[in-house]
Amino acid sequence: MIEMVKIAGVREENPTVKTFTLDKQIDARPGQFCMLWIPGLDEKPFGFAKLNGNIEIMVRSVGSYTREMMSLDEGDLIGFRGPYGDGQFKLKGKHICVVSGGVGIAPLLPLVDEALADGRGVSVIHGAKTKQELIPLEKRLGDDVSLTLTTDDGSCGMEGTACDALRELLDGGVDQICACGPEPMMKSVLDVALDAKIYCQLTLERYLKCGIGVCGHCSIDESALMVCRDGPVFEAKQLVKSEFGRYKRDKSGAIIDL
Amino acid sequence: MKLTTKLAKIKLDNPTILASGVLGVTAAALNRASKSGAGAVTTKSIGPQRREGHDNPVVVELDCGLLNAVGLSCPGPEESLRELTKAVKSIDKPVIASFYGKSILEFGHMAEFISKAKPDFIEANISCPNVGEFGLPFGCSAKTAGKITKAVKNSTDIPLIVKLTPNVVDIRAIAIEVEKNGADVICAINTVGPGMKIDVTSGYPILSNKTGGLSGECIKPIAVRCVYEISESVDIPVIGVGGVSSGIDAVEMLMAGAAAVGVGTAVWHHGVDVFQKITGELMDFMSENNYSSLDEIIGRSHG
Repeated sequence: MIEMVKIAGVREENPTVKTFTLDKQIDARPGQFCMLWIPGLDEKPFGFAKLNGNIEIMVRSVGSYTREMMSLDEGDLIGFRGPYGDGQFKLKGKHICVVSGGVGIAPLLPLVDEALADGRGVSVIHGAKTKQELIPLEKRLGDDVSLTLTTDDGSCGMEGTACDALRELLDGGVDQICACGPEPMMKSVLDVALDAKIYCQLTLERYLKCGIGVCGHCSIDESALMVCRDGPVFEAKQLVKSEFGRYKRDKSGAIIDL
Repeated sequence: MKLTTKLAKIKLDNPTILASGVLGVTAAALNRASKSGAGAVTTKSIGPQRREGHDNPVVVELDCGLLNAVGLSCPGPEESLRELTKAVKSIDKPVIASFYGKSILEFGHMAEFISKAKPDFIEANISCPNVGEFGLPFGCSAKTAGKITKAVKNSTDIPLIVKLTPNVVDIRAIAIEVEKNGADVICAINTVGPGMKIDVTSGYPILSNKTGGLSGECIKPIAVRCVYEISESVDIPVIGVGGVSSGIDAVEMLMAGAAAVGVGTAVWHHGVDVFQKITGELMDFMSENNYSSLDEIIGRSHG
């Protein structure tokens, strides 16, 4: 059931990304998500950028809904339901490599927190098109995490994609990969992980309607796993020979190529 | 012990049917429901135009069920037909193609169109309560329901299921008219209401459509009463839908006169495995009470 939750704080990450702290604490696993409702406008799914204490939600301005969200301030209310998703990140390896594109870093942050608390090694690769689109992570991640930045245009960090950086890191003892970002990037990560035979989990984004595994709109071909219910985090083997990296469905249910 | 049942000469391994509007957007999802134990599967309703459906929120979770207004989203007839054809070819259980039109004539055209995929049944959805621009559901008038049934029967040879709305004064009159005009099976009920849920903090109705159809546990007594009344009034078989989530619920629906039971909202709490759960519990009930076939249960409450 939706409840209205107060926004306890807003932080600007870069010109198009803000992090909202909600006056809400929940028992959820890294990778799970919630549906956030702006009354009279729309409701969209978001992963959790922080699960210890008040939850945090990271939002990039991409359309009318997120533009409206950018105008929300401390003290404003937003509708919340969740957490949802049986497909969650789990710690398997001793040295986890987190691969993120842009705001894709958000649902990976609680996983990093959990891995560090459990004494595991963590490398974070964070990529974006340009320096301006990177999320400032140094302070958030602290000294125990090895951070590699990449930009497509070379304006900050290594020139190339997050997946290029992953290939270079693989010899360093990485035994688990967790990724979130644009689907073509994640498809490359999946291929690298399969090739290197490293356990890999990825989060999938699809148009969600009900969010609770009933309407079937986010079902992926051919397994019919539902992103909202069976995901949003999947193991690499669940996505091999699927629609992943090839197509998705729009709001009407029509197939659109990626 | 026999769990088989029959609808218009077509045999079902077990009486559970995936109801329309749940999971059935893709062939793969229908296939998953079938492999998870459904005796037959129904597609989401296919319409004459591409429709995005309503904006979110399209669903409200209640203590006793769900309120939904997805709004008949549909990728368009051509793409739906491709997905339906794929479903018919890949699924080894009966596939029911649900469809709708905006006029009596269009129901006929749509029936002819989806029949190209050769589904085992077509199901005329004359009862969706959630699309204001379509006006009052056709299933609210016995006369219109009869005309649609006739238009569809004149357009196809595939067995026809007509899905009725409970939101009428006398569902018996509608069932009789539908049977008289050639329906092979009646499916009852579609969602109840419509209802509304208001968030009292913001003051907004939660659904973007403001109102939505009620489903799940809370509507079961209404569904059971409707199935009872319909099966008393007609000779064609009835698929009982509304709040079935256990074997005992299924027994109740069968005793009311249903030959099979639709399952929808129960997927929310129990997942796709709900079909196996229901058939397992149904078998337990049958062995504990010395029933050897569903025929001994179906319609028992009518004395």
